[in-house]
Amino acid sequence: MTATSPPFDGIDRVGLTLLYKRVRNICDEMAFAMMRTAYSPIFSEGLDFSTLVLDRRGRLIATAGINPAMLGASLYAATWIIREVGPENFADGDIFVHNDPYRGGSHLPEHMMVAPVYSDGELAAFVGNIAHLAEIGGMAPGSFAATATDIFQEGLRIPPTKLFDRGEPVQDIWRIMLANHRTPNNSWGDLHAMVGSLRVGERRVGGLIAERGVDGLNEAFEQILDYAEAYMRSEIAGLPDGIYTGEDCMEDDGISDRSYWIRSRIIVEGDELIFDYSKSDEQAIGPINAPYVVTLSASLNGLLYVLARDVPVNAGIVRPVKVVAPAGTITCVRLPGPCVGGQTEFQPRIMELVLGQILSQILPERAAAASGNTSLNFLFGGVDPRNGEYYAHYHFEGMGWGGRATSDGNSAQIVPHANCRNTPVEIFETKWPWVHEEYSLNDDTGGAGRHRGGLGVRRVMEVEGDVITVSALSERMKRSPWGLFGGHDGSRTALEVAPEGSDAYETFQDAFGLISPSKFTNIRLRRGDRVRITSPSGGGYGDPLERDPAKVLADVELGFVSRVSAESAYGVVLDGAPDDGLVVDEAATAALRRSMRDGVA
Amino acid sequence: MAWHELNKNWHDTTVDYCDVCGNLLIARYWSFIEPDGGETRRCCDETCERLFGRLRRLEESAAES
Amino acid sequence: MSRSPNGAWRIGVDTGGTFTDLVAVGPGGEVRLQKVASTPAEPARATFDALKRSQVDPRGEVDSFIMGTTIATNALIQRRGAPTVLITTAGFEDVLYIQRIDRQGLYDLQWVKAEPYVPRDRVVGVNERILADGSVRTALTGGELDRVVDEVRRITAGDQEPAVAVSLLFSYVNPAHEQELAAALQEALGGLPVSISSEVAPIWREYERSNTTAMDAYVKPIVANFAGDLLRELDALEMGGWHGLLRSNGGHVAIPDAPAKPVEIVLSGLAAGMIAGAHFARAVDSAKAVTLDMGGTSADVGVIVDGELQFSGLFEVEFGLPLALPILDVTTIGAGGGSIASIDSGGLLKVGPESAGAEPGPACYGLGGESPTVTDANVVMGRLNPGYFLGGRMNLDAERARSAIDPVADRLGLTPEDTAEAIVSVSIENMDGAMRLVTVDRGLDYREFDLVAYGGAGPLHATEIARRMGMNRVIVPPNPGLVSAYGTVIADQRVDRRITLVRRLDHGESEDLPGALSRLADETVAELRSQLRRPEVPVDVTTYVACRYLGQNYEQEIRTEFGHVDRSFELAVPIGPEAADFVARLADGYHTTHKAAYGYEMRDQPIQSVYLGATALSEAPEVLIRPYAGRGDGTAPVTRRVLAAAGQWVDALIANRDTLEVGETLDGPAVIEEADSTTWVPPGFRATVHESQCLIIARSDAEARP
Ligand SMILES: [Zn+2]
Repeated sequence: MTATSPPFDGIDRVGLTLLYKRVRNICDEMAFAMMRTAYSPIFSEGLDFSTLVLDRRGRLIATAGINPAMLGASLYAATWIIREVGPENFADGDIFVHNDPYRGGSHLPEHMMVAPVYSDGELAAFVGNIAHLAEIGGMAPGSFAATATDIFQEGLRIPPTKLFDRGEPVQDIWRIMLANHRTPNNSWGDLHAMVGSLRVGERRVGGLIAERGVDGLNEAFEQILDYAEAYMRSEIAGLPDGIYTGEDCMEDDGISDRSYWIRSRIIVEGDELIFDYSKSDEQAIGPINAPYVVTLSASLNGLLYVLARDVPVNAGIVRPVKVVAPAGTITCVRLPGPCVGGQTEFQPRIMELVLGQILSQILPERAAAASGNTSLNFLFGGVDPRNGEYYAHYHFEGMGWGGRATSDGNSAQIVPHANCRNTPVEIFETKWPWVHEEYSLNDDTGGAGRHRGGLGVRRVMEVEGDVITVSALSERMKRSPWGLFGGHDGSRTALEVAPEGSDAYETFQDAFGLISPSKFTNIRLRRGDRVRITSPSGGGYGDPLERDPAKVLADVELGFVSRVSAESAYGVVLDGAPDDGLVVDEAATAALRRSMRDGVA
Repeated sequence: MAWHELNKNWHDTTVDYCDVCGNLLIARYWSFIEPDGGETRRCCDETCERLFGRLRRLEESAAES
Repeated sequence: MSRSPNGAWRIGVDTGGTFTDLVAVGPGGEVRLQKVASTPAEPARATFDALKRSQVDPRGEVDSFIMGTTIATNALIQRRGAPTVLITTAGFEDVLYIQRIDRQGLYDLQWVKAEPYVPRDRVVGVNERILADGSVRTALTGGELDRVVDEVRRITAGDQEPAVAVSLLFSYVNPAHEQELAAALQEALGGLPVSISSEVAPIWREYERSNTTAMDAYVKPIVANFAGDLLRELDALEMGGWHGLLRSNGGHVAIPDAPAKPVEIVLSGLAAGMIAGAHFARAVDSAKAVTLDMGGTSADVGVIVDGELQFSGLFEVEFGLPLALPILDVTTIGAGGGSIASIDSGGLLKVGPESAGAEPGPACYGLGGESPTVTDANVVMGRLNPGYFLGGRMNLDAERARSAIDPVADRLGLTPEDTAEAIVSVSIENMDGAMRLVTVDRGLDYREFDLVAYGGAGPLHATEIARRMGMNRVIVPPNPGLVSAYGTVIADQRVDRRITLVRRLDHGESEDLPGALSRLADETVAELRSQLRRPEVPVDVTTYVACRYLGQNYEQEIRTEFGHVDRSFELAVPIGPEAADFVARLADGYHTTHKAAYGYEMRDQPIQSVYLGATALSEAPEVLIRPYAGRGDGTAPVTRRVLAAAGQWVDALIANRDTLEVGETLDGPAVIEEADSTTWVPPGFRATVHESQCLIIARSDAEARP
């Protein structure tokens, strides 16, 4: 760190801290309101949403720390709505909605709402939120069409549009939206949860304005932005100048078998940093493309995992950072390219490319090997035989995370660029006609390493309805999560199916003759068919032959690692029978490890 | 090397991108002509013009070495 | 307040991590207080040590002896519980490892997921399956029971005091399989403690239920031993009266019954303080109050509505280890007198959550601590009297406090005094944030609330917090540092029960709802009656139904009146479950509650019940206390220079609380000192001594309140 003195002088730093905490508290209050009232488990159980407070120019001042995947959209989407509409065209009580990924949205299901806050007729600030709606129409139930070739197949696209006009619902817009969603009642509940959250935010920001006045509050906001910028600059200045590069790819786009490469270089110059993706492949035909904000989000998230973890997340943090993602590449989709999977699959890929492969060259002790690195989106819909009602659900899965300098990777965790929770089996089966046979950790799969990769999960469930239409959008079926510094790769994703009465599982690809094993839409399953979802495990960190044999023994005792792998991957020979207690055979282990090292050399 | 209005009809729902960074252009844009008589570029602001030059120089020095 | 009915001693003990406090209230309101060092290795010893020093005759007239204990909490936190076996539905053995797949911080790559209380090689899967509607898909056969019993026998062979937890899918709808397993284990392995999830926490969400059940089994042997030790000692002392342990729900349980469901005493230690907070709120007619119990390392925040504490359905021992039981709703934050001030890498001042704890403690303790803390800041500001800390038993070193703050002052470019003021301000803002969330999360507007402040450090900061948040009055109970022990003396006897019952209110399926609610109320009353220490006392029962719009995933509890006056909630469906239009009124109550909390209602949407609850309560008799002499000692008023705000030194009046009389008022700036705490009254505020012995602090210009 080159900065030895505080980043700036002459301002009321204590007052600033207090104000920032209060604005964060407002975001948290808005988030609570949303979580407790929403209909979709993905945002009530899963917390797949963000809440925002913005200054009168529409710049992000604070956001509730819930879903980092929405960082890019949080930074830009509201700002752009406000600029496109023009601040003078807002009125007290208005709410605008939009979900346009070409205008700052991350993908169509994520809807942003923004409302102005006035003080005696003077525009003072904005409040906003972003939430993932479970069903918004398009070619497949759950609105995650892995075989879409344009945005129009992905669901209903809404440019910045007034949803409330001076406090009154704009009924025509509501009717158009609900008429295009498969589960309109669910949308009705979720959209209201978003509105309620904004109303909570308006009241609380109103309190701040009463205390400080419109100008006073906005001047203080400006200082909060300056502070975040100074914080980022001081952290970046601590990195050695240079150009660091890395690449990874998306396995396929659901339309053809070809992979798409992301080529990234990070240019560090003084206290500024450029992410340059201009050498990446052209935009894909299928929906794995990223809108600009997703690439930006991924880049910043990767950075925040290793630098400046405590920086106030607001519009100030992007000032010393530039993201170059030319339109028409896979890193910035051009209209009307599809992009629903960019947010869930492409974002974690870039993020880990940044933090694991590139920044690990500078800060190895802060980096980690690859996680399973897919959201493993599994969508389904149909008519519930128990009540005759249409349902649809967007399901995701936890996975193993990569080993890191300090410890093994965690098992069964949500993909690192999000922070959602799973849906409990008991809620799952109460809401939708499936019966689970298994939901467990996937043994003996974590990438071997001095610090082992975490384990993925296995979910087996049987169709209880007459027909369920399923779709998937996933990754890591052809290329494994990578290990780091000599750690082994983790294991891959699998999506399999067995017909009623049979235990012979085959991949969806084989069973239904699909182009992609991980991306497909509208497969009809019948009562008694079973689905087996296997999520990937994390890569290992460091040479597995350096792993403490006692840890390998503990893993074998708990079943996380098999006795066979203990020998073949870790060079650890165990003695004894499982029931009587195993011990490490020190001599045999030393000998085996020696020969394995020689074999490698 | 000047600001321009991005005049779009209200019923035009398409979008425009910065030629340098890929970010969205809204309401107005900054234009500049590539050095050595190249194309006219539309971008976010002067920062993106400078960024263009910086990336170009990096490109050239990489080619030399 | 009336006297305790038989004039006998009521003894309350609060065993904390550092100190064990005892409050004994005798005939005529005589109060004896004892503070002794805790003895973590033998938790019962400090208790009986304090009892001995209090010189209350155990063979004399003792009405009750009630303890708040952290024994179960500490076993969970320090992982000193029993070797436990978990039995799950086959295929779901990893439930404790998978958890909810989220993480604590967004950008922490080094975070390690919470380790389950039951390791994986001690989990047994059972071949059985019950579905969401309670129907049996796979029956539990006799052969399978035998196999499971054998497995458990094999795993526990050689264990010291093992325990078993059973948690099967959908057991909250149909508990038959869990009950069969418990019976089989009892029969074959009699004496092995077994906890089953349909009894411990019959609620949906299998991870939360399984983890709660595992925790129950995990602490069972330790709690059983502790209860055994206590009973032996009490027998040896020949102490009469009722002997109870405080539970997390604010009631208490007879000591011999505690080991049956030990997870219910996990928050025993925290509950005591909150009960007393609620008591004093009622004593000064405060209908809505936030309690703030601020000690050395942390602050506990609770909410009181209409004189009653609020309850939460979820509490986490650490991130990812939830306890899904009705528990006093308390939020603990890392803000205490020992919280450390530092400068973050952006150059801003940060206070906590790191704490200097009791050792080495704040720099001014002179025990080797060098980091500047909130207590040091208060010394530098003149608010804490270095010569009268713990009633003069400990001298604080003002010079050390100042030199600890100097480096921070240099970084900020402020004077040490203004830096001290800033440290206290940031700490107050931290508490402010927690208090806002506790209230807003429940749809409550803190501006309508009073603040009841206690613990050693609470009264020092409370008025500044209340001012910042726009709250009403500040209430400082007598002996603020001993409030928790006092809470055990006045705790009610209470039983809470909950069952899951998912019904649509717009369907015929809700017909059985009133009947189920009545039965639940009867069972809850019967359970309390079986435990009552005085069988003749009246029992109140309150019932509630948790509802949500069909499709929502969180519910709000709607109180339903049942038989007795319910004083605890503003919004009640004013009709008992026997009434014909019960369901319709329940629905109306839900719409109204939702609108009040979130600003909108959806009258066209169907409503669904999720669970029913009942609380049976037997109120503890009132206690009369006279903790202060209540008369001036004739000495002339003293003043001291105190920093009231940045750069603003004032002459504050210094008063000894023991000399204040009921009805007396003190205008700020003033510092009121007593042995276990210090109260700061800022300029513009006035403290009044209420007849309950509480100090009430309000703006000097505020209208007099009745
Ligand atoms: Zn640009």
